[in-house]
Amino acid sequence: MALAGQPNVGKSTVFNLLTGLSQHVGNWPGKTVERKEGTYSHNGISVDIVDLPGTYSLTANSAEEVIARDHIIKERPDVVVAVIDASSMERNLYLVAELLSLQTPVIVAVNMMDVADQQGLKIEPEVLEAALGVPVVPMTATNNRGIRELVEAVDELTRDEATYEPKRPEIREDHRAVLEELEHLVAAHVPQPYPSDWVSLKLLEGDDEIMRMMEDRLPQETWEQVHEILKEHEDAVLAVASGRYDWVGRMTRAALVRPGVGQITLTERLDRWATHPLWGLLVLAGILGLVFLLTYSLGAPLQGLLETYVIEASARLAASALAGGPSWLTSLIVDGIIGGAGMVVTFIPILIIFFAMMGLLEDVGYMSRAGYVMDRFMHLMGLHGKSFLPLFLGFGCSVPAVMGTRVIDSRAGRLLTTMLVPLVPCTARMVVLAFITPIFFGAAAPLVAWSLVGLNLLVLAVAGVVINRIAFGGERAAFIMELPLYHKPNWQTIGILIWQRSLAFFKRAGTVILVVSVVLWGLSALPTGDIETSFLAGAGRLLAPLGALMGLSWQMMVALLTSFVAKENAIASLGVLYGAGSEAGLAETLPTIMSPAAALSFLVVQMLFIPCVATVVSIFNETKSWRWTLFNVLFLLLVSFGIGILVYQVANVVS
Amino acid sequence: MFERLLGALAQGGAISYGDLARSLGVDQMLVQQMVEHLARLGYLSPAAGSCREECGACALGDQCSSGGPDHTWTLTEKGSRAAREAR
Repeated sequence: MALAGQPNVGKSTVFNLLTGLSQHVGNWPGKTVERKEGTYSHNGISVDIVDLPGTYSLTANSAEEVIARDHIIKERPDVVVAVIDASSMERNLYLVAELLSLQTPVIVAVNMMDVADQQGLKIEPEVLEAALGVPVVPMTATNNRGIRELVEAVDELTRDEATYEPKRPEIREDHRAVLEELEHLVAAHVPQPYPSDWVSLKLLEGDDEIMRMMEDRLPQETWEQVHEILKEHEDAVLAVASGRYDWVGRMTRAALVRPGVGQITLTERLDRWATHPLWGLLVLAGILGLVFLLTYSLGAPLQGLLETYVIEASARLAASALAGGPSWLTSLIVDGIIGGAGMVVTFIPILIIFFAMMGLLEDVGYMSRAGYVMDRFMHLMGLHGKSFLPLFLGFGCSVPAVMGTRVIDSRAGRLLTTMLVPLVPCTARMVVLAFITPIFFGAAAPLVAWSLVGLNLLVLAVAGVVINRIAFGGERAAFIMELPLYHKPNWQTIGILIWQRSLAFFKRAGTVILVVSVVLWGLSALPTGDIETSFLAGAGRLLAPLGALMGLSWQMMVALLTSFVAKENAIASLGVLYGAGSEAGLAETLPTIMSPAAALSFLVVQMLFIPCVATVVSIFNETKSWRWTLFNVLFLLLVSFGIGILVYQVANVVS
Repeated sequence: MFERLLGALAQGGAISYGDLARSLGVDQMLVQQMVEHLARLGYLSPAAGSCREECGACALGDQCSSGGPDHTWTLTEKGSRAAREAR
């Protein structure tokens, strides 16, 4: 007798119960796989048992599977006992389907009946026995239940094989003729003791070992015919396996009753809302709103405090410490390094809160649902629902959003999402928006700000459709997603996640911003030390004709340029260029030098402009392509200035 | 069974084990087994499989996928071909 079964179905327990101390352990010949043999006696007959290695199928995928099938075919045991786990019957029946394709009689031992019982699964052994056409023995080996019945069943079957009429799975109907044709070709050459129908089936499955065996034995001409058939039906493996799964489906439908509606799990109840086409989106919108509310209400004041007590205090400290030194050094440290790279520090609260929210949503199992329900909307842009995750992160900061595109499998999807990330208004852009809108639009400021965010999302959607159609052929990938069970959050996991993500952000973004800040400071200070005659001002004046189309002076264009270092630099640059000295002063000065139409145009460009340098570097790091990085920059320049000009011209006409 | 599963995938978009189980009239456990089987046969591949390889020493590497890199599958070229035929 041979004991077969998947790993962890209690096969060893059954083996130990049957053999007791009459067992010995060695290795299978030529293999390092353990071979356990033993004996038991029943009704005066001594039965030898071989415990076959645990396998999921009988295809030559592993040494264990080859050992198991070779033993059954070549050693021809009188009976094979297939031990299956009652609590996951579907997963186990595929192996039974394969065992039934061999000639050795099979008994199915349905073990772990107690576990199935605890899970509310009702298995009807008699029904399963009728469906399978082979003896079925329910067991709980750990409690010594069912062992005697198994021994009886083995005894009975070996005494009277005539009653053994298994209902074997069949290959899918559309491939039956091919199987027959193949068997007709190979039957006369199949070596003993291999069954010719089984060999034909394995050939259709593309089983390497059987292919080699038959290639050696078939006449050249016949092998070429066989090879031609196999080439023509290279997907026949699907027809073979499909037939087995149909069979497994029929068996479980017949003999397995699952818990009823009254026992629906919490996850299923929650998912009725969370993955519903409409309610799921509303749930997501609500959660997003909550995330924004918490991020801005908790993070923004903390950001302000850090700016006052860390950045400004450090700048004052550095300025007084360097008071006796050269003025360029003071300017480099205070304006370039602290004013530029130091801004990264002020993002700590917002980033931590954002990472914490995302970590929490991931840990409880919600994020995969968010991706799932967003899929249909992302589909409009040719994007997979997973693109939603990095784009969502873009509302905080574009750098982790670009890095987050790694969740997308295909290069096309990753590239497309990376190109779109800068169109999601990041926190820094929102800060500029929040500062400028009230100066020009008063009570209408919230509406203007809301419209500008909406414009960004609209451009994002349109750009997504266009880029996808042109660059990626409009293909829509298919994804199978596992929606994990909801569970209580593990605060330690979330804490580690926040720490790792924040650290990665500061390591990557911090170093780049430091270098670029120094370079930009150099451009604003050289060659004379006066910004009016600096290279930066020169560049600004070069852009003046373009600025004129939007009602923007060269100073405004320079402010846009400096936003390349960090978005919020636009405000500081305006203050310096207009000599306002402070933000309050700037608020009073700006309306006197710029019309609301020009301000609106400036905001539009600012919201759609090329992202900060840290994001551009991240885009290069992720795409590993200068071509795509450059394309992204040019694309955003074109879009931002194009729409900026349009808005200014239309606003002028309207006003 | 496989052809119906592939046919469902041919329509594109995100589909959960639960959706597939309902449309095939089987349990999610069997769907999961079929998905793993199709992956072994080269018709499906883990959607975020490349993520692990590319992340290297990146601190975000382990966090790179919500739902886990092994929990989302996509059709390979061979799978897409079979799915088109199944449809």
